[in-house]
Amino acid sequence: MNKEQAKTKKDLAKLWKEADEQDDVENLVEDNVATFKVKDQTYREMKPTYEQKQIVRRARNVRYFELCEDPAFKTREELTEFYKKTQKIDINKFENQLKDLQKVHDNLGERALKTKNDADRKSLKEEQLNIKEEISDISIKKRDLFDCCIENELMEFVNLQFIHLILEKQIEGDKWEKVFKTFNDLMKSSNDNLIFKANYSLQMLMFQYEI
Amino acid sequence: MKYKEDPLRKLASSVKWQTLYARSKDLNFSLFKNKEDLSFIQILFLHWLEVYKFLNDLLASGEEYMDETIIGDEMLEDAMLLHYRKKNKNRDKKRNKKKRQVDPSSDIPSIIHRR
Repeated sequence: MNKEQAKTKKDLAKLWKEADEQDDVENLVEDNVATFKVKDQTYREMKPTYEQKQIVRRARNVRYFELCEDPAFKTREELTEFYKKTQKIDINKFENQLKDLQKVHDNLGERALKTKNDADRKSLKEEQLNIKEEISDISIKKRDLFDCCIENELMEFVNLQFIHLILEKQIEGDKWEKVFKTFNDLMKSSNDNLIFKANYSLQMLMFQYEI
Repeated sequence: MKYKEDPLRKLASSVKWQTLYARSKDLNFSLFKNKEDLSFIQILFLHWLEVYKFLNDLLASGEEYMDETIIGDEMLEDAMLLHYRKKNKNRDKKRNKKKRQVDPSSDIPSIIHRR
């Protein structure tokens, strides 16, 4: 295969991937039911009912009080103070850095919009991408620092609770059954791929702070 | 770093969905299988449909800095939206400044006492 053929093949693969991605998104948009496949088995998730949200809300509150008494976890506020005292890391500084970088990013965008010169526009957009990378690095750093905070732990717990309640698998035709009978069944599951996909679909169905 | 396009925005800007969005009110049909209880992604999608309708309107009205190269380039689309918002904010500020010289209860210009 020559270089040009290889490039065409790569372009085609990229196009197919994009088309697939587009189809996935279109499927998610068309209905408030998310359907997906894992190893030839079809699964679905429907928007949680009010009753299911109440069940999760109650479980979340119980978990919250447990975590507050667990020395392995701290709140975001406590962690901010902890990093400041022990490692001289000022997380509030990150926030200011992010705001400043966003301003630079927006300014570059406006300059790229106003210029008529293609080369200038390209170079301004590249600069904008570099700033975006810096923003992303700081955001990741911040997210990692808060990885063990109570709020994150609680959010993950809430998501798993919802997955336990709404994830169903197709038996045949319009026959569906719950995948995990109890929350413990889900916690014992080693099917990471299924849980990952179920979590992704859940994020598409409802706002993160809906309960 | 390479810019990663958002598939949801791409879908919302497509001719198919822009046409469906524009005609759904007149022809009275629903864009989605469900008529109520919209999911998060559906609400987000409606937002982007409106944004792209707005950008197409700006293009049609010949708005400054708007041309065919903007729509389809997410970075420039964002810059256009930001620029438009900024322009309107400045215009509103000027308008409010003028308005402040009018008594809000009576619409009568306030009296400025001068010695």
